[in-house]
Amino acid sequence: MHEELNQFARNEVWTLVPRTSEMNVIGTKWVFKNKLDGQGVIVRNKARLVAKGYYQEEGIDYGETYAPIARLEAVRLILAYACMNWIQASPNGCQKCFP
Amino acid sequence: MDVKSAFLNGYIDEEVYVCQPPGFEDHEHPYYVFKLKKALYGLKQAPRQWYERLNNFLLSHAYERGKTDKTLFIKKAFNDIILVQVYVDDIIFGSTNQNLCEQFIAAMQGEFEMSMMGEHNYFLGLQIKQLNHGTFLSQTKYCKELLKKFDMENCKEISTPMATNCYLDLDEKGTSVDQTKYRGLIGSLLYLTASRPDIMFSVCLCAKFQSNPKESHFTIAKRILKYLQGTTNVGLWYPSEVTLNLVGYSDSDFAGCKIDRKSTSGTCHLLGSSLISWHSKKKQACVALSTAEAKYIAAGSCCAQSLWIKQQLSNFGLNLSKIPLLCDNTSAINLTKNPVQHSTY
Repeated sequence: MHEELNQFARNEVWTLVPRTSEMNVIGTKWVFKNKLDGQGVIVRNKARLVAKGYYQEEGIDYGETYAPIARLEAVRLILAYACMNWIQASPNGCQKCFP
Repeated sequence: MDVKSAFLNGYIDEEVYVCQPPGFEDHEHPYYVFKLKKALYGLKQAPRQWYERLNNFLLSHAYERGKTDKTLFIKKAFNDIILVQVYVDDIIFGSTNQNLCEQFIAAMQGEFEMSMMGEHNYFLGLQIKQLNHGTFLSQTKYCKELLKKFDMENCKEISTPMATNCYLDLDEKGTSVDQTKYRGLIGSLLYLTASRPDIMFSVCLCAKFQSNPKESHFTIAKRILKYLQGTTNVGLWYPSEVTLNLVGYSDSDFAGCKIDRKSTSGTCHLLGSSLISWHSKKKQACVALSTAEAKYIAAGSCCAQSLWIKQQLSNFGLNLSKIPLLCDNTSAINLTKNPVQHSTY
């Protein structure tokens, strides 16, 4: 949990302000997840602070919410294309794959 | 590679206040609230704000955005090109020049907290194995976990995903099964179709009965799992050859659906000899009156997909002048050549 809060501080996510009556304050909660390795042994306990987005009201707390996401075809296309052109496509940084 | 706590990077436009985290209240001001500057996980606008941030960052570094695909970023330098495909916080990139890759990594690491993936090459759960003569895409690990999740890890293997004479209907008299479990199974299988065109048809057929699943549908769905048991390590192979041509294939099944007599289209696209996209068991939106009509509709959707791939490839710097579209019905082919006849159909 401290790790998560440290990340908040580093990213300057928020500032503390006094509460007033006209604010629509959204609750938060912690979500815990145990990260497993390949053998199913717990390697890390992860904590993530989440906002209860379901208390938000459209027009007041948020406007547009649409975000574009890549099509799976696009991912396959880029892989196939990369393969044919000796481009090094790699999710794992840059590995020299086609010398 | 992957951005750590991606959503915490998006700037927020609206005024949003949140409570202090439970267990970590400020001692001096326990009743104060936090005013957010950046987005938090769970907020409705979080994904949009993150995309906005990444988009602005890449555009300011002289990347161009793809014309149709807004998640593709391209940068050209002399004869070299770098392609960056973004899937929320997962990023896949490739370049003809090692230096461009390194520049990109350095720029990203300077702006965001990044994590490079470990030894295994994973992207969105797809295992990507790059070999000297090609790339292999598979979901072996996911497939094995899926079998385990539905207690089928020790089931018998079966050679086909579905019987050829399999006609599924609503089966209103049959006994109902747990909808959550059925939907969970279909959802997991649908994700598996990302690298498995072979089970596409049967999964999509089962998916049609999600609203009221019966025992008979569940049996068919479990048969797919049995088929997977024997074929966990099957995937897509993208050979590294030089012939770059795109071919679209289309076919249809006239009045294939026994419930509403609608036809089904199936299309697929091959770039060289790598399978890029496929649609199977796509029920047509209107009722076709003849096989020619059904094939014509299938060819139409195949053409739409070809155009999208063509656009995407032109963004990559490859302009194709001719894209053959194959269809096995003479009347349908003639129909495409003579638009005057459209009114009769």
